[in-house]
Amino acid sequence: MRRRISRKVLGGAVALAGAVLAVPAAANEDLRIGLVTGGCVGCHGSAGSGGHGIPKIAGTLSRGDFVAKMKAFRDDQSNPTVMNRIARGYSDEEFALMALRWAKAE
Amino acid sequence: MTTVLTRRSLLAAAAAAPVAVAAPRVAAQGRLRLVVIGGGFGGASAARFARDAFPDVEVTLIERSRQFTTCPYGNLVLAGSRTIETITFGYDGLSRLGVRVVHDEAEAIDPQAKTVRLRNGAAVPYDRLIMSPGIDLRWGAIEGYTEAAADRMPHGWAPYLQPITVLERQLRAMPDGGVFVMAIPDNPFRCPPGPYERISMVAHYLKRAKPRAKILALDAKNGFSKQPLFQEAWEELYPGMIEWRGASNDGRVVAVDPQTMTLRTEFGERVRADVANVIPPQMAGRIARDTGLANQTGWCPVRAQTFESALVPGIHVIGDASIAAPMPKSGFVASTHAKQAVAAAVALHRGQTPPSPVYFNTCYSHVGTGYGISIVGVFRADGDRFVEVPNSGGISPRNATMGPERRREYRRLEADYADGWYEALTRHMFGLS
Repeated sequence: MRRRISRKVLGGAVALAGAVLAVPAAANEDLRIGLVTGGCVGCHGSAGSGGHGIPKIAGTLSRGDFVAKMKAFRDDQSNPTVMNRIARGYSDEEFALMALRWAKAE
Repeated sequence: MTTVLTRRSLLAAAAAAPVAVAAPRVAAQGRLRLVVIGGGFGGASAARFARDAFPDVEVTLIERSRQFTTCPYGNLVLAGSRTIETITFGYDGLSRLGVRVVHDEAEAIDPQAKTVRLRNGAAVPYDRLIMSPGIDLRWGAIEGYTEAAADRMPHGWAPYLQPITVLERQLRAMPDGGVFVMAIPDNPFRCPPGPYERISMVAHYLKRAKPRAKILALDAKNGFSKQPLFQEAWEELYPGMIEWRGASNDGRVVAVDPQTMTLRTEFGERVRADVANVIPPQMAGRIARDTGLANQTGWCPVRAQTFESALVPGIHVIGDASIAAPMPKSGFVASTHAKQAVAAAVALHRGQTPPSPVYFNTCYSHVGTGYGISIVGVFRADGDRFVEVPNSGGISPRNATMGPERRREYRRLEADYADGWYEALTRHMFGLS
């Protein structure tokens, strides 16, 4: 069974790991989501809908599955083109921030 | 008694004070005025992100042209698979999102008064300035390569100075059996894989239209981006058509003569061209240099956390004009400089700590029909330096690492993804999606 990840649980993890202290937690979290996912939109589009064979990433996976998928890319466990090379550059905390933007709402 | 502070309550306490201090200042001064100069990949992305992330910030974009033709995909115009219209964009999308778009030339900056003077005489006040000025070409750095010479020997490297169609017309008019000669600069320059994608796309056109023609690429350096992938593909797709010569093989072009259509190399060889594509050395755009943002290299040193100029406070310099190695001078990575610079500019103005950055680059190159390759990179700040995250990023796998079927699939997927990447990025930055 996969554990359900609430925004609060993810948010807590994010706040603990985050280096920014001087902004209210919620606003800071939204800003960091915008920054960390800034690279995603460059290929998957503003709404994460993909195109030209680039997969849709918005609203397709649960938060837990989204993070698991990113970790699988990082560990070279699937057979992608660029995503394995990309995922190796990001942290677990950043995968959580990405999930908050792209995964299905819970 | 000892008070127990959990990490969480500590964070909450730290958050309260600076916001309380910042609030009266914001109220006294009105909305933060963020001004962006330059509507290319860096500047348009900055305006878009500022509008999305900070609804309470006033965002002004100053851009001289009403239309912007991208450098990326210009090589596909040479190939004949795109028209210039399909790589040209306007600014209506950004206007609709609430960006104030001013079409004028930024003539001068007064960093003390915090104003931008426009060509029409008006002064635009700012609280924080983001500058994405792009590049200028170093006329005369190659002897004889002046603005006038560029008509006969096009660069095709800065669309606002010269549309790619100038080079396209010469390529179309070239006789079969002619020689297309390129002069390629040393690092750093805009779009490190760009010249080699250009070689590929010109070869793609010649193979079909002028199969006896040749390409001679004279390079001022000894290695280049995605080199093994490009060279494997050239052998596979265009055998015998392309000769690439690096610096140690007398590849550096030091002089040109547009009258006789000749290029002279470092060790004195004179090469005659039917079409000469001279990509000269480059530097930060004029407004950045005039404002004192560039150092002796001609490029602009910046702080790795914020992209704030290391020379003039209050101005953030992003994109090709900045010194941000090991990041390449690419449009994609400029769009991530932009987001970090905007977030940092707002935080600094409000007396807050800027978020810690993650910069990201993806560059696809087309090499042939259904044949694409890529390089990606994830970068962070380490004190004053930019660093690539170890063991991340890199180029597509070499041919030998894949079976024939997977190899074909991989190259085809990356050609498709290149089209998706171009569409997603341009639509996003121009506010069309």
